[in-house]
Amino acid sequence: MRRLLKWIINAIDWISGVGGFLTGVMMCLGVGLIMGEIVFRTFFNQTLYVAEEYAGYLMAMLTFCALAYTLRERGHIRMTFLHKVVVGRGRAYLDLACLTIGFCFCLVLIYFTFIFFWDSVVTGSRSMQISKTYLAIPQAFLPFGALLFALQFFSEMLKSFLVIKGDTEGIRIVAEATDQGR
Amino acid sequence: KTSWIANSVWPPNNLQTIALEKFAAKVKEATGGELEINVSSGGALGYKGPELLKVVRDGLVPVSDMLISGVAGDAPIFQVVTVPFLCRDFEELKMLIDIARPYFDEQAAKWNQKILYISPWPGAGLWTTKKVTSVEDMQGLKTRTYDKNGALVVEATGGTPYALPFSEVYSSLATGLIDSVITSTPTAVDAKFWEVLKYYQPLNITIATNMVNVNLRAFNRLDAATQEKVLKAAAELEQELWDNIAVLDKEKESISNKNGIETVKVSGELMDALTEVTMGIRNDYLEGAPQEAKAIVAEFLEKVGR
Amino acid sequence: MDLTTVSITLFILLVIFLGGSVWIGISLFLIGFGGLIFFTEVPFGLVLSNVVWNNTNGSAMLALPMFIWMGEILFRSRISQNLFNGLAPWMDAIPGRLLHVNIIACTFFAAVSGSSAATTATVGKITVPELQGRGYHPRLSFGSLAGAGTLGFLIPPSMMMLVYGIIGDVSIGKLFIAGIVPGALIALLFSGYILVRSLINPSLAPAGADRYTWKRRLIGLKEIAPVAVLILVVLGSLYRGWATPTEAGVVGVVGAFFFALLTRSLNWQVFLDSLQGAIKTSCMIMLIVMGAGYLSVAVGYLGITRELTLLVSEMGLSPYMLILILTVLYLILGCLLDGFSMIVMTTPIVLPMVQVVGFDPIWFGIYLVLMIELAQITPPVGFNLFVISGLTNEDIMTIARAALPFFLLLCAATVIVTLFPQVVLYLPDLMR
Ligand code: NA
Ligand code: NA
Repeated sequence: MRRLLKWIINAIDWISGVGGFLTGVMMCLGVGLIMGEIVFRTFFNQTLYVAEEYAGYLMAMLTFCALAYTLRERGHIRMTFLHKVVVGRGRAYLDLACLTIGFCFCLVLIYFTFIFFWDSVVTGSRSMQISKTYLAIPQAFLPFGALLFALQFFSEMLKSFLVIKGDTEGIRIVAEATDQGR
Repeated sequence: KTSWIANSVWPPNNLQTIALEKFAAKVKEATGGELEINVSSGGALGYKGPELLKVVRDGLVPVSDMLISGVAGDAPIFQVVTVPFLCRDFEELKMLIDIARPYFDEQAAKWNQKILYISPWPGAGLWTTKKVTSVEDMQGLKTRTYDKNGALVVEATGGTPYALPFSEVYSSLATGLIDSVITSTPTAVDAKFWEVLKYYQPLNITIATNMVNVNLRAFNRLDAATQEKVLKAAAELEQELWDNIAVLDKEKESISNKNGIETVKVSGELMDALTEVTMGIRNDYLEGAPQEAKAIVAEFLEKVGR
Repeated sequence: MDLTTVSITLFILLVIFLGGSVWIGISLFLIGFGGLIFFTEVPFGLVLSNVVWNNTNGSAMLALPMFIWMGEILFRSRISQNLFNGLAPWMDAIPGRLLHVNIIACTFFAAVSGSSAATTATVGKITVPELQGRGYHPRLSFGSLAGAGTLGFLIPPSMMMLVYGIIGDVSIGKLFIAGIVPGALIALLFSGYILVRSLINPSLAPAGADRYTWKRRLIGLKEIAPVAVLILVVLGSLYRGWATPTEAGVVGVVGAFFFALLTRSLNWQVFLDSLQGAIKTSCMIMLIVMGAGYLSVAVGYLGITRELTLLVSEMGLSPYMLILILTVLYLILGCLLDGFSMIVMTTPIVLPMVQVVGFDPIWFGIYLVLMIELAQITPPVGFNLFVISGLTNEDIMTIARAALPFFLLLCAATVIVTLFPQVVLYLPDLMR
C-alpha cells in the first residue's frame, strides 16, 4: 500500500517536472520571439506582427504550466506565523488541511477553466489581431495547468500523510523556502 | 426594484462611458427609480473587450458597452463596421449601421442579448510628426495601431504597424520608437498628443462604433412597461449621440488645434488613392466574410454609389 | 448589503486563510469567492476563468519573468563577485570605507535586478563575509545592507513597478525612469549617514591591511564594466525608445548571458539554475497577481471601490492628510504582508482615491514602492531581514534593530518625495 502511494507521489512529481520543463522551453521561446522582433525592427525596419500577441499567450501558457512545478519546489509563498507556532505532528495536520483547501480550489479552477476553454472551441473564438489565432489553443493550457496543479496538491497531501505516519523513505520532501529571489 | 451593473472598459471621462452614465440617468428617471443602473467604468470588473459578447451572454454583467468590431473574434459579422475606408463620414456610417442593424439584432439574439443602442466614435485619423499629403508621405511611418485593420492599412501604405499597449504609447512617441498614431480626436486630447505630435490627418481610416447590450434573461425579467421605458430611453439617447458626434469631433479637434496640432486638409485625390491602395484589404475581408456581411456591404456601396 | 458588513466579512476570511497559512494567491481567490457568493448573484466561477485568462495573457506581463531571469543569471555567475572586487579599491579612501560598497554595489545591482531580496542576497553574499573578516561594525554593515538592498525595487528595473504599472495601467517606462532620482537620493542619504557615523567613530570601519594603488583601481573599473554596460543597455534601450519594457527585459537576459560567457562563468548548471529560479519566482508572483486580480474584481462587483472613493472625496481630506493616513496604514500592512500583496490588494482601491485629491499615478507608484521598501525591513515579515538572517545566522529582530536608522532615513526620503514631488516627476516629465 505504502509502496503504491510512493509510486503515485513520484509519478506526479515527475509530471510536474515535465510542466516545469515545458515552462523553461517557453521562456526560451519568449526570448527568441522578442529578440526576433527587435532584430527585425532594428535591422530590416519590419515587424513580425505576432510578437506582441504571442508574447501574451506565452505568458499565460507558461504561468499555468509552472504552477505545479512551483508548488513541488515550495515556490508558492504563504504566511508562516501559525506554521511556526504549531510544531511536530500538529504542523503536518495543518499542512494537510491547507493542501486539501488548495486541492479543492484546483478542482474549481479546472472545472471553470475547462468550460472557458471549451466555450472558445465551440464558438470558434479568434483573436482580433492579424494572426486570427484560435483562442482555444492557448486557452487549453489553463485547464491543463490547473490539472497538473491539482495533481501536485494531491501528491503533497499523500506526502503529508506519509510524514504523519513517519515513513518518508524514497520520496523527496522539500523544506519551506524563505530565500525566494524577492 | 431592480439594480443592474453596466460595464464599460473605457475610463470614466470617455465619451462612451459618459453616454452610458447618461443612459443610466435616463432610465432611472423614466422608471422612477424602479430600475437602477450602476456604471462600472475603466475595466474595474477585469474585462478587456474581446470577450464581452460571452460576458453578457453568461450574465456576468447584465449590461455592457462593447466595441462592435472588438467582439468580431466571436461573431465575424461585427467586423463589417470597421472595414477600412468603407465609410467616409458620419452620414455614410449611419447608413451602414441602419442597413446592418437587423442583422446585428439577429446575431445579438443568438448570443442571448439585445442591443440597446449603438453609439459612434469619432473617426480614426492619422496623427503624425511629419505632414502627410500623399500616400508616398505615409511610406516608412512607424505607426501605433490598435487593431488588425489599422495594422493592415499601415502595411498597405508602406509603413510599419506597432501594436503597443496604450499605456506605452506616450513614452514611445517621446522616445521615437514610433512617430505616428492611428486614433480618434478624443483619445488624442486625453493623451495630450500635442506634446509629442504635430499634424492631424482626418482620414477616417475606420470609424468605430460601440453597442450597449443587455442580457436577455435580465431584460425579460423586467415587466413590459419597464422594458418599453428602457428601450425608449435607449432610442432617445442613440438619436442624441448621432446628432452630436460631428460637433464633438470638431470640438476635440479644435482643442488639439489650439494646443498646436495642425489639421492637414485631406484632398479628394489622397482619399481616392488610399481607397485604391487598401482595396485588397476590403476584398480579402469580403472573401472570408459571412454571407450577411457581404450583403450589407453590397447594399451600402450601391446606396453611396461607389 | 452595506459596506461595513461586506468589509468585515472579507477581513475575517482574510485572517482565516492568510493566517491559517494557506498560500497567499489561493487565499486571495478564496476571499474573492466569499465576497461574490455571499453578497452577489454573479456566477463566481465564470468570472474566475475570465480573470485568470485576462491577468496572464498580456505581452507586458512577460517583462516580469525576463527581468527576474536576468537577475538570476547575474546572481549565479561571477559578475557579482567582480563588482565587489572592482568597487573595493575605490571606496577604501572614504570614511566608512568598504561599508560604502554595500550602498554602491546595491545601487548598481538594483539597476540590473528587479528585486530587493535578490539585490540584498547577491551583494550580501559577497560583502557580509568580507566586512566581518575585516572587523567592521556588524550592526552598521547589516543595517546598511538591509537598507540599501531595498533599492532593488526603487531603481529600475523593478518588479514592483511592473506589477503596479500593469494593475494601475500606468506607463511602466515612465515609472522606471521616475525611480532613478529618488533612488539616487536614498543612496546618498545612506552613504552620508555612514560617513557621519564613521567620522565620529573611525573604529566602525577599520583600515584594512592591503593598500590599493591607482593601478588596482583602474583594473577595478574593468571588473565593474559588465554591470555598468548592462545598466546602460537596458535603461538606454528603454529611454532611447528602442525597446518596450518587455523587450528591455529580454535584452537584459541576453546581455547577462553574454557577460556571463565573457567572464567564463556560464555553464549548463548556471543556465538551468537561473531558469528554474526565474520560473519559480515569476510563477509564484503570477499566482498572487491572479488571486489579487480576482479579489479586486470581486471588490469591483461589490462596489467597495466606488463607495470608498466617494467617502474620501466627501471627507474632503487634504492631500497630505490622506498620504499621512495611507502611510500609517501601509507601515502596519508592511509588517505582515509582502510587497506584491500590498500592491495588488491596495492599488485598485487606493489609486482612485489618491487621484481624486490630485496625486499623479506615476508619483503614487514611487510612493508605493517606498512603502514596500520600508516593509522589506520591518519585522515580523520582511524579506530583506530573512535574506540577511540567512546569510549571517543572526536573529531577525537583531537585524531589524540594525536596520532601524536606515528605516528612518527611508521615512525621511518619503517625506522629501511627498513635499517635493518634482524629485519623482522631473525625469518622466522630460520624456514628454
Ligand atoms: Na531594480
Ligand atoms: Na515587513
